[in-house]
Amino acid sequence: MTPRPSPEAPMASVESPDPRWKSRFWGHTQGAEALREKPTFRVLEQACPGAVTAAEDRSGDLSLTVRAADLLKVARTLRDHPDLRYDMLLDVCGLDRSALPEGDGGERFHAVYHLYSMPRGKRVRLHVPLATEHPEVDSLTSLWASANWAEREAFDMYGFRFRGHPDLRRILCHEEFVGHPLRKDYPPDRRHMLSRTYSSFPGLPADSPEGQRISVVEGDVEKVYINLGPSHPATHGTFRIQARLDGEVIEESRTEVGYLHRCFEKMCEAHQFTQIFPFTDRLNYLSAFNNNVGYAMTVEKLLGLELPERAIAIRVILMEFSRIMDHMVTIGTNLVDMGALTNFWYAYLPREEIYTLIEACCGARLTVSYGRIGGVSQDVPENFIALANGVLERLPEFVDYIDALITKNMIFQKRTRDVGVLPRDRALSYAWTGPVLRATGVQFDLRRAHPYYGYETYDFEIPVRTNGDVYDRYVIRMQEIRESMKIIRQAIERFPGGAHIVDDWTVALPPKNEVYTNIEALMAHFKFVMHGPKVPAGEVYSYTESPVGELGFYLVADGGPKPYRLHCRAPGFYIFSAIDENLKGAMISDFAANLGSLAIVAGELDR
Amino acid sequence: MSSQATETHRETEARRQTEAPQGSSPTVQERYRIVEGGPAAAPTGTHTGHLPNDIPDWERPSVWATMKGLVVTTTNFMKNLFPQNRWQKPTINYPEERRAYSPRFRGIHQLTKRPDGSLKCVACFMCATICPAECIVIEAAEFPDKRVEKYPVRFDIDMLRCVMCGLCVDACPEEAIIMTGDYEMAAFSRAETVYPISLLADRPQLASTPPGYRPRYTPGPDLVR
Amino acid sequence: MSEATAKPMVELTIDGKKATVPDGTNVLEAAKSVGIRVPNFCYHADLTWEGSCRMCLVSIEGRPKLAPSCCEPVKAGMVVHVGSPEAETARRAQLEFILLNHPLDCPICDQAGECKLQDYYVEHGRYESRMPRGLKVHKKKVVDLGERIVLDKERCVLCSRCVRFCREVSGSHALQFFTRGVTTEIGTENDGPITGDDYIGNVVDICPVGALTAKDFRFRQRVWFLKSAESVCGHCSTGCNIRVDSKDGTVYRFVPRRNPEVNKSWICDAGRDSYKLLQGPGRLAGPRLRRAGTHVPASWEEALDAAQAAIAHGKKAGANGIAAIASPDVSTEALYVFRAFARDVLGTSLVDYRVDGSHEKTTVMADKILRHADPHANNTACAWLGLGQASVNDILDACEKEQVKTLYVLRAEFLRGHPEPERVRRALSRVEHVIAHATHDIPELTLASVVFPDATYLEMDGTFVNYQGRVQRFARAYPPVAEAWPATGVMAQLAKRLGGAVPAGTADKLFDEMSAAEPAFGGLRWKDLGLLGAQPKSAQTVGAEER
Repeated sequence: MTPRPSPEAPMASVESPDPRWKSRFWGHTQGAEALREKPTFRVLEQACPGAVTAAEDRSGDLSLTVRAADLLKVARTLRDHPDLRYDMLLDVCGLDRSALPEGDGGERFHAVYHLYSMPRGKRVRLHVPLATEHPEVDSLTSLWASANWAEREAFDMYGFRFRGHPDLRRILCHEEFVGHPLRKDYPPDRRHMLSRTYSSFPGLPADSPEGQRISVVEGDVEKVYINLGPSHPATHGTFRIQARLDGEVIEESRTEVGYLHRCFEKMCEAHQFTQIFPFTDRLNYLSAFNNNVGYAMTVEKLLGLELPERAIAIRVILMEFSRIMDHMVTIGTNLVDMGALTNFWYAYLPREEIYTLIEACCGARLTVSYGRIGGVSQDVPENFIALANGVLERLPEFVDYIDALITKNMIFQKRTRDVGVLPRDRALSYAWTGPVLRATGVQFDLRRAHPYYGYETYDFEIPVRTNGDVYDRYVIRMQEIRESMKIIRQAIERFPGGAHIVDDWTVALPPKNEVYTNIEALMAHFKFVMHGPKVPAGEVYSYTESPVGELGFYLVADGGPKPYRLHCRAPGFYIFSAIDENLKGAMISDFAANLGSLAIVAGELDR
Repeated sequence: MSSQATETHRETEARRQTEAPQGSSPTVQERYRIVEGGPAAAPTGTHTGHLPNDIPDWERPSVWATMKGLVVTTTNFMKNLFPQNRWQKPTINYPEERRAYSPRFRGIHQLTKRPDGSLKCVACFMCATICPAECIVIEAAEFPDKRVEKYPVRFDIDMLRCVMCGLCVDACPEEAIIMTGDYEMAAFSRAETVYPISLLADRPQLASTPPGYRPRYTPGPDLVR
Repeated sequence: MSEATAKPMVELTIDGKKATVPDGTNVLEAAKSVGIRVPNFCYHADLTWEGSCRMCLVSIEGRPKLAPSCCEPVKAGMVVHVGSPEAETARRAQLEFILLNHPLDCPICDQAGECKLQDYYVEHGRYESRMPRGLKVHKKKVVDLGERIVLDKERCVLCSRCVRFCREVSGSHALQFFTRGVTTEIGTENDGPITGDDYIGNVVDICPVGALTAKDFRFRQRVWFLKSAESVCGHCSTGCNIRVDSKDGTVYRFVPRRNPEVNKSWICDAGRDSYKLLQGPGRLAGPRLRRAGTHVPASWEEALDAAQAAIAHGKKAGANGIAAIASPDVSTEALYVFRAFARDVLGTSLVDYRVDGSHEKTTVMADKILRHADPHANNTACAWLGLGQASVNDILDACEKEQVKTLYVLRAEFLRGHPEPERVRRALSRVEHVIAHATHDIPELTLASVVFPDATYLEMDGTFVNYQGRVQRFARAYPPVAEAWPATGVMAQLAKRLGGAVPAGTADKLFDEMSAAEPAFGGLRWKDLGLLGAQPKSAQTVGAEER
């Protein structure tokens, strides 16, 4: 008879006639015929016959299952074939399928790759099943520089071996860590005693004895090793760059991150969809609301949820305000690193006022937790437009101050022009996105290329510069601040009425006046809190243009109240992975200028 | 094609340096544009920053920029000295002066009361369930009054764990937990940071702080704090 | 099962799926067999059909009206639509009707989280409320019905499950309907306490809403925090299937799990309360040693050293130098390891489990419903494994004559059951070394020189063999408390130290090994046991006669 004999099983899964609530594991699936017409599939069939074992359209993303043995060939075809040109490897992550309810008998581990073709504007996801006992696959570091750190993360979290990876070490966890934390059989509460420190350069002592320095003598030159960080005035957050100096020139540097790793992804697997909002606040905490929205959008995409117009408008306005704040901080701290303190105050003052605006909406300043699935937690206050206008009115004044102080300042130009240059093809290879990519001559912005929330209807420019140096990054951010103000003005003009959150009690809490007065809403409220929002099973990747770059969330849901897997594609992680290449041959003083211009936030970098 | 690429530095100067050139962005259909003119490869060997060649000689001495900067700072100094509004005097003399926080401010929690002075909380555990930091500990018991039936004998919030996200307030079906404008929670020991019912419902600071984040749908008589 | 297979099979179509079920089944069960759950309040698989709640209405082709699927026997060729718009509309209307006077009690109701009203509203209802709070009809709340049950008349949906239970299963007729119309309510006569019904706890489990709540569980924990483990009650030889609901190592309740072959959906109140006996106070926290007449806490290392020395001492004293007694309270796997341990490591044939005479009462019913007179879960397994090599009286005699130098006792609590406790005390006090596994601290333990804290069956995986010879699996609900360690592991350690070997490994491995070696288990495999257990072929006839 039935496997679970209790007739009183809690949460009886009654099939609902409403097709929206039917459980679909991998999201909407398009017919196989339509997929065969897609060029990606066609070309791969020809170039690597038999390599693609399955192709599906999952919630609008093309998803190919590729045999592990053929991955390198498939990836090379995807990158180099003139019809495909997937020139960016956006993301690599792992997936442990052992706890999925479907139990289809496939391999336990999947390596999941997200590729983007900028010329074609297409995305593709590769699922590569790996052998359960020895998950091993060819490294893609020979094709894309971004694979380096990304594969190290997959190795760290899942224990995947990437053949041919030049430096396959743990990246977010400590060297002494035992096990692979994102595997489903790793208990979240296991603790490790981590005591030793290591040198990034093999064979060197980790710490220098008091008053001495670590150095090697080559010929008549003494090469000194220095540590920048983990705790250093010029490192924003904690990370460590160990560099070998020839005089004042950085010959080689090695970067260690992960000091602020807080198991964001493991925590998400242990909490309900709603509970994750406070965690996303702490990714890039300079623009917490953007993370809220990026995550909410992912779940909404899986749900196929349409948001009320007012919720969208609130999101757009506050996201652009957050972008301004983020750029203000980036510029301010970048300049502080170079010794220019005054403008820091000019950057922080309007930021305070924007915080006051956000606080008026949600009650918190930095970690806002304002986003919710289907909208925002509560409607904006009545004086919201007046407050926003007040901020907008004064903001340009402060941008002008910075402009006057800095932009044409010869000392600043000398420190930043031609510093930290990364040419365009390397930037794309490192999967750079956002302002730092636009500084290399790629006029690309997700808000324009793949518009969401009606960004196509707003009139704004996408700044671009060509030199790819620290100065250009600074100018781009200043320009984006002005463009964001333009967007906000337009959004305020057309600010609509209506609801701030969807009226669907299975994904959002019922309104309080209903909860207090009728049993139906009270029960829906309880079901929501106890068993979480009803999110169908499926797989989805969603992306937004955060102030740093493409903030992507890859979500696998199993129909339960918690995400089965939530991976955050942190833009800063990929940008920062280029730092060693970027610093080679630079002066030690250029390090500080370069670092700040990359807009690194450790909360997002280490997750 | 963007005009940016072929522009000289002096032409760029003519406009504001940090205003994006109008009408140069790709359309939605184009998605993106590549603007040529950047370096073909990363610099090799020892390198550092330098000024471009097209900056005129008279601009080169940094004294001009310094003077311009001094004008800005002096202007601001005078504004700060004789402030006309908050933007011109952003600092306050805390703790004598205090900021006015938003009426939705998410400060330390408060357990509200019924008009008769008993706690509104019926120990339904909704807040403890939704709390992402797992910082709420409740123990329920039978209440003598049969109309109430259940009440918390213990309701602790570990303020060191709390992330002030306000989800507990969202989840409360009784308007029993709200947040206040109270944000000063420094303590001398770890034990003091766990707030029991006595602190959550009756701490002396509540008298002087406004209520913060709370549901907006109070039916009937206004909130009894 | 045999009953079911005897009936002819009927084929019908439910929501486009073909279902083949025995004749006499109702449409609701037929739908369940193809994975379609029809919402219902009043229907219960182990009670008579009632059809009062009208939540399970379905469309049947060729019928002008909707039919309650719980009272509709299947007919060949029937075409049923569970998800038809008419049925959904009727269900929604019925739910609204049921909820008209339902109080806003979720915050204080223990049922929240496993309440069918909540589930069905989110899945089927989703209508807008039309009933203002002020118009609701109120009934009596918090009616104290004796020592186990609290009744809330407002929350009741009048499904009559409890009324039928008291009539058909427990026979107490304690709960009844009173008055009519909107004021209809269930209750006892004059709302007096329920007495003399040893199964009344079941009405709380079958109540689909929060009208009947258990005093024992009331307000102690919220159900959605509880972790469930499929287990078997160890309180008597019936072996009722249960679900153990625990949180952070504390059990909050036993709930019966349906097994048509053993306990249907019921459990007796004594078994329901037995979780209290299995945990503190009095649980042993760590090993103990007797030093200079008093007990001192020791480390596992010290305790194992002492036990090793004691066994070596006993061995030197000759064939009768060591005796071993096992309790029918431990898992079959522990008994199997114990047998090998006694034979190969202790090298004694003075082995028995028949201390309190319960082995003769295994199949004797203690009441007319479920309970048996044998208070131990695993006497049948002891018999199957042939643990009664010597008689317990011979062992006690040998102890009294001081022939036995070392006595190994698996679960010392069991010795208290002996009809002559004085004799046991005397015998034990004359043995030089008593090595005892125990879960709880009892006065008799002072006679032991080494005490190992044992894990209860809630803290490990294993099997019990009930009176029918049905092998039933229980799963670990939480890890052993403090320093407790399952006896299988301890005996394996001791064997290793003494240069011998006993079977070792996880419960599934031990069981498969034992089943392959012991004909009584009929070659059953661990994975065959499933959640409902299995009977070896040889034992099936025994079980059938008993029933």
